[in-house]
Amino acid sequence: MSIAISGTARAAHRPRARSGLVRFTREQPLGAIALFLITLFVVVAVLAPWIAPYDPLAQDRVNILTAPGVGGHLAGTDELGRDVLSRSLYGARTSLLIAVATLALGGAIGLVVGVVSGYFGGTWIDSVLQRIMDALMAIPSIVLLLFVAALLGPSVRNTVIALSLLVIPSINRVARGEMLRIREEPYVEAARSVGCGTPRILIRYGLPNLMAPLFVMGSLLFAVILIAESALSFLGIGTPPPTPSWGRMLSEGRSQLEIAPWMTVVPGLILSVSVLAFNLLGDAMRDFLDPKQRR
Amino acid sequence: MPHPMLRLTRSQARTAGAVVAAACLALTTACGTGGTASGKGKIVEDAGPPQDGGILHTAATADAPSLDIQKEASYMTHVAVGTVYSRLVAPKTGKDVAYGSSELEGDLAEKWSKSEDLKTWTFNLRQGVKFHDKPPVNGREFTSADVKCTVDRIKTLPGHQLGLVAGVTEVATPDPYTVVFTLASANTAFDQTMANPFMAVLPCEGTKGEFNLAEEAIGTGPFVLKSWKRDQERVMEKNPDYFIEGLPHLDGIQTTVLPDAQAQIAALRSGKLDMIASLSTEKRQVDQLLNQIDGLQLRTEKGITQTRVFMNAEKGPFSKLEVRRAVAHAIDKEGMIKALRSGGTLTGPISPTLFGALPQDEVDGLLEYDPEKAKKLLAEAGYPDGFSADLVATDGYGETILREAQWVQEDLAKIGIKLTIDQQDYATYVSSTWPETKYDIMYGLQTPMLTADEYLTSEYTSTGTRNWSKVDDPELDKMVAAQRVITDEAQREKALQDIERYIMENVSTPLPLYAYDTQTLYSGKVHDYYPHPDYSSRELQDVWMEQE
Repeated sequence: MSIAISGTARAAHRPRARSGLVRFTREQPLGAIALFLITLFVVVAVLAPWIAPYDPLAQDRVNILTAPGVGGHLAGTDELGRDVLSRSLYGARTSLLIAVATLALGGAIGLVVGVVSGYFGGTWIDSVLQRIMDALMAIPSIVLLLFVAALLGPSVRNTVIALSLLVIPSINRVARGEMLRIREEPYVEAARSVGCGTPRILIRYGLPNLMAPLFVMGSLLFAVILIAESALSFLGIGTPPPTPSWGRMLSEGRSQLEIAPWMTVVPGLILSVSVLAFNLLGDAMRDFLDPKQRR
Repeated sequence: MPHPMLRLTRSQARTAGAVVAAACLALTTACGTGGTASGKGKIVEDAGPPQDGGILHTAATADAPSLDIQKEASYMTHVAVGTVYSRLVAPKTGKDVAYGSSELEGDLAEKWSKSEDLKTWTFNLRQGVKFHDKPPVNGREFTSADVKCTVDRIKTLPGHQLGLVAGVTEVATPDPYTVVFTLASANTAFDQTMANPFMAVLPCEGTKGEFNLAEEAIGTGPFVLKSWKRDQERVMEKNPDYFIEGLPHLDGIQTTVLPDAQAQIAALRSGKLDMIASLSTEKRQVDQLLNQIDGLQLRTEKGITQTRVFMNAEKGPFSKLEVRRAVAHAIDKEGMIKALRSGGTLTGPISPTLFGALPQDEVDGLLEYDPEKAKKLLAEAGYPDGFSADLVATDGYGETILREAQWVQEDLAKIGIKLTIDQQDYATYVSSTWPETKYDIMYGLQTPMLTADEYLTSEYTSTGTRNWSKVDDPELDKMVAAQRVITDEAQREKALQDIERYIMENVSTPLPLYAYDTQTLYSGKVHDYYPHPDYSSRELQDVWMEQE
């Protein structure tokens, strides 16, 4: 009985899976392009060790700061003779790792807090949790990031922790709002009336129905994380050297901007395109998943 | 930060001068005329008669922690207020004086003489010298009493500067224009001591606490401190009553604190700055600037700051001498200088410009880049397959140090030592990690010291105040103590060289790699800038700017 109900509920809120991608492409061409770029980004990140022409850490000391194309380096080399293209590709790996880990950690915490808070909306549990979230949101994000990153020291793990603090309140807001709506839905009431416990209601009926707006949020946050991670690395408190990271590459290239522009242009371009793609995808998904905007 | 002040005796400075001269010969494009083959960056030396007027805009990478020139051991303070004060005597600078020369000229003293036994030194002071017209001193005349106040004050202060006047048993002032120093033991170069930038003569009002020396500076120097906004700017104005007729030429000096080298370069390019000093810029960048800015002048100075690999001699894999020597041979220092610095000289524990330094070819040999030898040494130490460790470095010294750390990381990886960089903030690095030896291996800088003895005693003896690599070698302790009492110059030089050789072969931590060159870049309208490495900035009294 409960399965049937949840099935109906899902059907009401989600497009059918099979034709989904095709329809998405037709309705949101920009979104489709973004999706393609993101797929490319993920593929590059995952396959970096196989497609990168050089080891990103190898210092080719004969070819220091050589222009693109010289000495077999397609995008030139940096001050230590490292291949800029390879480093940029591996930078995608670092960024992806950090973004996914941050979304998993921050998203999970934000989701739990939001769902619980929403389900108990109006009670003291909701009040306490939301005030904590308000406090986190009240601090300007970059200040919070700098504080946490400087406190913990530069490492990939600490960057993820710092960035998670940025993600938690946003996810929480969306999850709570959705949950407030869902808990009044007839199917939740039905579940409650047949005697389902709170955890079961939250996981079985709550979660699946609030995922759609969370995907949109996740895509937009992905872009925010990419930028924030680069900002931290740029300031020297993110990913420690010599790990290739776009932000650090930009910061290293800054002093050579006039002599070796490729050191900043290549990672900068890839970073910009990635962020744009995630933003476009987020927008497209929002329009696509919103029944009111459907033409 | 320890104070990087020069304390050279005559002979030491002669050695230093010779080294600089030799280096100039070797690098015909460097030293003063610097720059590219096309003649860009050339210093204009015949710009005509000096013109008065103009404000010199310059920048500092960090501000002075305080303006107290005697209490504060940071050279930033000396750079900041060196032009406000005068000394009894000062190193001569100018067109015909070699960089770093120890030749002296009278500053507040008109002439000076020493007794036969070298224990009594008499300084005859200039008459009619006025302090700056600022309360509570209000432009009163400078007298011998102020010299006594100053020396008495220095004796009450802890630290390095006390050592300079420790031998003074009495300061007598028979009349307002005569000061007589009585020394406990003979000193052939007491005038050199009085030329030290720490020996700035303060007014008695300052030493008696009538104004706060940490925040106000009132002296007799060529420039008057008009305002100081901490970490922002310092404004100096011409002293209209300066005791040298016709000086200074400038109407004032405006120093902006700009920690970021890129910001300084941008400001130089846009004309907001007339001069940027003591940067370690990469050659490529300097060449670029010289090509872009018409008439830009470049002065390259032999560096005195050593880059270092610090290794923990007490515990961990680097406690084995063979491992430390392997590190010394595994790093391609020459390549590093070429790729990341605009010039530099390989160095042992005693900087190459100091008395007692080993001949350059011997240093080069002891530090030779030889990965095969390094591998062999590593195997002898029992690590034929290498090992892993954390390499500590800080971003507090700027990006270049982090790049060099990555260079070291790569070089050591080639012989099997796999390092992970542990990047720390400067505060942690300098106040905990370094002094408490919380590292196995670390890459960084050492603020220059100015005598061989200072380096050896503080860093390499078991009881040294900066023995932060845990060196414990009784034989070395004995050698360092012994050289201090050698009076014969040649013998002492040999003893110092023996010690340096011994350290490089048998201690090898802290392991200095090279002293890097620094550059001063200044606009084409600035003339007669002949700096001295004593950080007193006194030479700015001679600088003038072309007026439009």
